[in-house]
Amino acid sequence: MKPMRLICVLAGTFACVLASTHAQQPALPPGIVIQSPVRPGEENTIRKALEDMRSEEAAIRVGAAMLLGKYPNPLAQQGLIQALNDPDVRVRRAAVVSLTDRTFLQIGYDPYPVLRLLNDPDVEIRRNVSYNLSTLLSYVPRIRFNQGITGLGIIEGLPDDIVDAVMGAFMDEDAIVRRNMIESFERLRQPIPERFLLRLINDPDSTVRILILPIAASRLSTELFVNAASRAVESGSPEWLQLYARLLSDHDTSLALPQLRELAKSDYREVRNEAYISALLIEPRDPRPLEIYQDLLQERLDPGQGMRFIRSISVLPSSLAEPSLRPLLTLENPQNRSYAVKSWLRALVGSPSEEVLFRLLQDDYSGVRTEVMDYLRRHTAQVSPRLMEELLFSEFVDVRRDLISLSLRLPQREQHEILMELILDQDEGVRVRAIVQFIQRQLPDWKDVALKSLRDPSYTIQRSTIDAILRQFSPDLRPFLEDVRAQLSEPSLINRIDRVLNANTPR
Amino acid sequence: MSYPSTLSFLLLALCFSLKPAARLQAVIAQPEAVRVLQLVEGEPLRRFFPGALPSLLQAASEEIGVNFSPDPVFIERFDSPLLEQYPLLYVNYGDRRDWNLSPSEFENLASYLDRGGFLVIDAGITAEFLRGNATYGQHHSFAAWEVTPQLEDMARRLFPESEFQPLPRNHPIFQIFYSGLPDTGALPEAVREFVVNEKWPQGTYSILGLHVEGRLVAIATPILALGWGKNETGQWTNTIGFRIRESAEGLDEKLREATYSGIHYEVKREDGRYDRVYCQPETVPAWVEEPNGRWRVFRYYSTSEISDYAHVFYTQLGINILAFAMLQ
Repeated sequence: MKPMRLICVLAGTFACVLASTHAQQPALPPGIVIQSPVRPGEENTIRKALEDMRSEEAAIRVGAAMLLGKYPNPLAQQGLIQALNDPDVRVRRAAVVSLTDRTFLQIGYDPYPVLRLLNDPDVEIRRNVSYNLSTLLSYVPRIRFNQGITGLGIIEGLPDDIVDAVMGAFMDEDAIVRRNMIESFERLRQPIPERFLLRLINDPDSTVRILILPIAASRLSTELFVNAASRAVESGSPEWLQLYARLLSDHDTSLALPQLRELAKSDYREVRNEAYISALLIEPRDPRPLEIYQDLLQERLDPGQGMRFIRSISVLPSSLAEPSLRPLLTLENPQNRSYAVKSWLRALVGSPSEEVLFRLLQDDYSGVRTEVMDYLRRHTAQVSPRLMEELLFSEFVDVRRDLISLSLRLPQREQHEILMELILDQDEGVRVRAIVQFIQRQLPDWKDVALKSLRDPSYTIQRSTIDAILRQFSPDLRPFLEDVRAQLSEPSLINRIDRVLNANTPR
Repeated sequence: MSYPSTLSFLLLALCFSLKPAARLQAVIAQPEAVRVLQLVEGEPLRRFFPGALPSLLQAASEEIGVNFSPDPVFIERFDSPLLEQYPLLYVNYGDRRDWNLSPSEFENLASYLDRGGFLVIDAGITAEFLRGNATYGQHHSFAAWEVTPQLEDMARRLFPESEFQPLPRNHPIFQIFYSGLPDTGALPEAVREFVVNEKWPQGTYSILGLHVEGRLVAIATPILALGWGKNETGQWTNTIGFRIRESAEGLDEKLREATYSGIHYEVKREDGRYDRVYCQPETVPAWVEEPNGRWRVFRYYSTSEISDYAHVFYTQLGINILAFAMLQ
């Protein structure tokens, strides 16, 4: 088998390294990228530590393993790998901690000797290895690629004893090891075998049950998932029940709805509310009589649940969504209020009244104002002269700034008027944007505007103007650019123009 | 100010015989949620650890029964008029680029602290090897015993007769609600020993305080916020590893002679003396020479139970700080 051959090659290499401690760059397992070679002078320190690794006294070997951990290079690493088989648990622990230190993990190495420690009798070692499993396994494809082995998944094709160690760790007697295994497989995007999913849903450890639930929900059939999870409902913590209720919204209605109805009777308000949200997504209905609706109005929902509830309302038919969302426009929580505004504007069949738009544009929270500006960008017909005046003279900089991009959708004459107004804005950022857009859109008189902007005392405005003009450069503009250059006194700006003029000199 | 500190002290005296939680509830018997100020220069969404303080306030509400609003009130500068309205101001040192305060900020902040306000400067303690970049101090909670030079200067200008001093290990801030360490049973043996005896003895940590007329008005800590944030399903949002000092037989001598290619820094200890910390890569201490002549290696432990433990500790310490601030 190819993987076995690889181990033999690695074992041979290891023997080579130990025998040849004078070598500056020992032979390495193929495929391992070494970013940190042995630095001059380090070799002596490492060699002494390697000698200490042969000491009769375990305490000396512990110290040597710690010291080798400070030299993330192949020479020290091979000594540490040897220490993984030490009969003394303290030495093995010291070696594992060194090898799973970030500096060592970054250099990459053959992970099989470390992975075998998933079977170590010491729980601290198993916790450490399982915690670092995803990084260790991520070396495997690189090793295989250099061996010419392709087309295998990470787990597939591992030596049998390592597959056994990895899979066995899902059922480790220690809950922390089991948690680590779940998280490592998720990081690696490796599927956890179905038999483990079904057992871990009912794991005695509550954290394991929470970790495995979304994974099981996405990988198991609805029937298997609901059957397995429903057995855990009775012992479920409020967090678990809330999560379960949320996950049920993605599943087949006939099986999920009875579960959600049960969860809606929970003693915990968060669980009941989550069940309402999921049920609403599966079975559309008027949300206003629901307890959760009152909770939202009275600001009793946490922001995440509030957002999910508003989202579930927003996907209802307009006839239900619009009247349900309207009272939420005055929520105190700014994120929820802004999400309600966004959803309400989308649910509207007709147009919002100007008074409502005025009020929303005065909102303290910029997110709300942004939603309204976004709506107006898509519905420019709604921008009456009165509303336009409100936007132009808004006390909020973000509204005036957003008006610049909104104006792009208006007829050229209106664009011209708006940008001319904003070029005189009190905020420099708005002025810069207005000038740049005026030039970029080449609105009537743009050259005059550009020349006048160059007289502005602000260097930012001068530079932005020059940059905007240069972006428009074409041979026709050469005379204009030469006029611009003649007006300038700032050398850095003159240089910018010269670079473009020189690069485009006719031959 | 809307929070009469004299009244708080009177209430505190009246409630002295009550348990801390009951005492707090009695002092803060307000129908409305208590809100905390947070200073962030620029866009609040871009602050360091945005979910940290809300999570801590939520945890404090659940644990000590005081109704904290999880949404901080943001201000951008110390001369904000909002300062007058809230008893506690939290700022992450990294959320303000420049700690050269303007005259109006000095004036307003001094008046705030004089009149009973309490300032928490998270990450105000960063060891010298973490000062090269604003983000280093956000990810390494290293127990040094001096504030950054900028804070030292700020304190000098705020209250010339006072300076940041280490809080003693028996200071009430360490035991006002939680006392001692969380259960260390799940920690690896070496980590447990270091945490109990050196890192966080009896649930304490390196906190420096600024006193004005005998009252503690401000504290600076190594970064704590990295230990506070939870997501919606109650899981911690950051992973925390431990850096612990270890030794073994004969290692002293080996370290003294070991080849070393990095830089070393002097870091102030609790006893006022200095450790010489050798960093191989920048920000990663490799070993330390202690003033008693002992050499030890820094070992890095990163596992889930360590991370969980650190979160629990930082949250307990954070709640103690909130509780202490409320009782000021």
